Amino acid sequence: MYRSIADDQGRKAERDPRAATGRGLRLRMLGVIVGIAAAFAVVSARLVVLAVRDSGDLVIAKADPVATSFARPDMVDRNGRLVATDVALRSLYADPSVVLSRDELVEKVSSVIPDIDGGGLRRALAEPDRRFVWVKRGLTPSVAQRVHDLGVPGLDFKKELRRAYPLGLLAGHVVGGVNADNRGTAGLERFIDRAVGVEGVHGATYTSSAPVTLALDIGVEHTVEDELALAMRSYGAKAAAGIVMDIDSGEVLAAASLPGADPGSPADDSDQERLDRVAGGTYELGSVMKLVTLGMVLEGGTRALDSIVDVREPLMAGSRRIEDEHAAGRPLTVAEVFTHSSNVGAAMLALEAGPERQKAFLESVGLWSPIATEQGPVKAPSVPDRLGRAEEITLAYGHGIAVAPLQFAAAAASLLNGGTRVTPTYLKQAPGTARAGPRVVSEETSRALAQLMRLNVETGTGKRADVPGYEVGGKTGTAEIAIDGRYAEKSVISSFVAAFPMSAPRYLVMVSLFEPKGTAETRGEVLASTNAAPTAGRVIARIAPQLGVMPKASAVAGLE
Amino acid sequence: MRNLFEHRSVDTAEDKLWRVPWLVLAVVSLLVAVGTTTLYSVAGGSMYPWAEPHALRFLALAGVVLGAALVPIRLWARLAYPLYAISLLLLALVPLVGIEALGARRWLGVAGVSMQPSEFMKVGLVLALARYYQWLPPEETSSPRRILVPLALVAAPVALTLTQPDLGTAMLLAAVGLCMMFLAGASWLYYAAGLLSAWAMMPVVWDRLRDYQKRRIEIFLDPDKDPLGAGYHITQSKIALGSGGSSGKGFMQGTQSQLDFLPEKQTDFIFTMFAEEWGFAGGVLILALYAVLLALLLAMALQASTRFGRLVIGGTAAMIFLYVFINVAMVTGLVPVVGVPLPFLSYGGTSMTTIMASLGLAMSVHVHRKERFEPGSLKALW
Repeated sequence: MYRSIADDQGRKAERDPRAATGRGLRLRMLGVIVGIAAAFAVVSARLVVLAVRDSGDLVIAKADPVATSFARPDMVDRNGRLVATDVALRSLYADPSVVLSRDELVEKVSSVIPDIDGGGLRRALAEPDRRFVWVKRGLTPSVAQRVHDLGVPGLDFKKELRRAYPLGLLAGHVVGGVNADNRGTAGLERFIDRAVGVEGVHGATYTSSAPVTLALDIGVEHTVEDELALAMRSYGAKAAAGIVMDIDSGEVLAAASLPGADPGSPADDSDQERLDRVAGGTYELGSVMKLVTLGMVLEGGTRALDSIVDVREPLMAGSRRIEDEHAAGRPLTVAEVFTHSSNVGAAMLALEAGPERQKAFLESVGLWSPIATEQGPVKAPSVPDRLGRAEEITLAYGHGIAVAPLQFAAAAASLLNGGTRVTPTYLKQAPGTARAGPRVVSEETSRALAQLMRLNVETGTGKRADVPGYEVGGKTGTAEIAIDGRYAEKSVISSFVAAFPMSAPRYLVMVSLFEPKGTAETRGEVLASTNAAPTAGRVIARIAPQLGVMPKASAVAGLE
Repeated sequence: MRNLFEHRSVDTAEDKLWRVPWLVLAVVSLLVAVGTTTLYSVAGGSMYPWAEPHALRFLALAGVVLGAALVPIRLWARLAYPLYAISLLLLALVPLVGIEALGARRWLGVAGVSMQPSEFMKVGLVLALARYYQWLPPEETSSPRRILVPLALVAAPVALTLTQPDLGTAMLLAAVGLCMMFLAGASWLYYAAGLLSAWAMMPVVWDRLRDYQKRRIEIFLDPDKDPLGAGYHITQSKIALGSGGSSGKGFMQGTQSQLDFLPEKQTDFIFTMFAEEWGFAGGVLILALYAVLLALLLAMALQASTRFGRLVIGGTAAMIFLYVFINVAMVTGLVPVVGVPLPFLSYGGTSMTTIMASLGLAMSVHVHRKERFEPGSLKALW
């Protein structure tokens, strides 16, 4: 056999060149080349047809969405306790092209997840060009298992990252919330999206970013929310707000607004009841403003604490008559104007200073212009357009100017921390960055104000805020709420601004109760001295040990 | 291995290297570069998971090709029948011990490595047919008795791959075989008769097709029948080609492909991916590169001094042409969807290995184009 191969082949190729390289081969090659060229021409022509075809009739199928979810850094409190984190959960979707019976699917899924929108789902499944419909996102493992066990064709799961808030409603207004795609929509969650950064991820991939450390101390936060809830019940208040602030750094250790907001269900955001009363609303806070008025007077240097103010005659502001609630009936010292909370006295001191100085001082302590925190802008203060005599008088005791409690707390902290301007922050600050703000008042003025606050708790309107050993100082404010331009007598916001320990103030505490009612405990009164002051005292009694403030030995000895 | 033949070969390895058709390798490299770039875009701008392995695989296989090109053509001729026989044996083993995947049994697992005997067969068939015609006196090429042997050589693997079932590979094997027989000089009349009988056989074949194969053909004839189901691939592919327009959407800008509407875009639909981003112009450029490659191969075939060499190159060219044509015709909706990759562009080791191996054989022919098969030398080795 192999003999013939080589022998024949070799000779025949030479004998018959036509078969090897001759005309026959060339003809066939030509045929092949023509065939290839024709084939390429056909596909090229096809490409032209497809390329120039009118693209108006293109149908884009609504398939699996491209944007999947976003991986967010955790949020922890100042001591590293978890506030918010991502967890991988199963999300349920349907592929309409695989669904056999829409009605069966909706009915069976409803039996496991009652809150799905059956009608909307049925309509979405009926759309002819859809391949992907979300049914319910973020199922718990047990619910996902039960849906899986239904065995309905066309349903499937995707693992997604969902935000979880292990503390529930605690600090809900501060934390904010996220939307279905895990993007922040409110509070510090929105801040994380804007300033810290989130990662777009496919499926359930956790972020490797470091957690965001809040200034909050969740123990303190819990205490404040607990005491505010108790106060709302005891005094029949409609709402309450509370702030605990590091007096030097402006770090907000607790910010509570009740009724609270649930970060897990942002649908409640528009609810007026759940408004953030710490930073999202401005209020006339009343006599707590006298702290600012006294700061202005003492910083001016024209008045000493023991100089006399004659408050026996009521003051006229336009057609309105300014009187003291419990008129002393004698001239008061400047210090007594504070501890007796004399509106007439504060007004007379403000008139002495004059409108320019009053406005400049309010500006310097940060009550005149809008401020912002990581949470977003604090609701801008409402201030009078021009300072006439009437405005000068009312501003002195906290009317005619409405500020957010957070903004006022920062101003009070600035006056009491030795006199440097405080910017409130929800993020934990590095040690050593405190008291970097511009000077607001001198250290002497600051010390004097601290002594006044302490005096007011020892002998004045703040008596019921005292906590033995912690040197609490504070100022009450009971502001009638303006409804349709008129003040309703028994409808008030009662506030107490406190700091402790007053020999070297470290923490500022502010409590506001909205529309409290008179009770047996308050002897029918709605004054801050009867409700906000004792609430602040109870808060301080519980948080001081948590914050490591040691009680003074003399007081402890006195208790024995 | 080279030592074995040194006494017969007057060429040193260096002489041979000079004769390697470097231009062919350059065109292929260009095509692989285009493929790597496109795979980078497919992954959304990442060398992983496709672009880098693709490029590295090509570099490794280019070494193999050069090695194969330096192996004397006589050795390849001698190995032709044994290689064919082994491939056929492996192919016959697949239904018995093969691994089933996706409803078909195409793979053999050997020591943890899975392989597709039908791919070996593509090379084996080219070699065996070339070897047969090398033996056959040219004037007997069209005699009825002599036409049956190559037909049997083609029919056996085609029948085995059909039972796997793997319609795409079976068609490719049959087409490569028939092309080679045509190049060898089989009469036009056989082809005419074959076409006629194929037409008559159609109802019978139709009955034997699997449901999904029938469905593909039905959908091919009318893709709008099921645009979201079986017609989905081709509908999306056409939309992508249309949205590319004449100059394309730009690198990494193809919405159809980047947004995952297009299926299998790293393998079978890579041409669509490329044409959406580079437009009609880019698509035609690719086709032009393939045309240059085929022209170079045909020129090499004409320079070959033996029938075996001519047919090996012709078979390789036929295989590359068929891959390209079927793939591009498929993604443009001209032929039904059959899983045929685009040579040098599609990601995947199996098809690239096969094509590069054939290319190596073709180069070996060219490197040794001056050699004639002397009677003595063949005998000595048997």
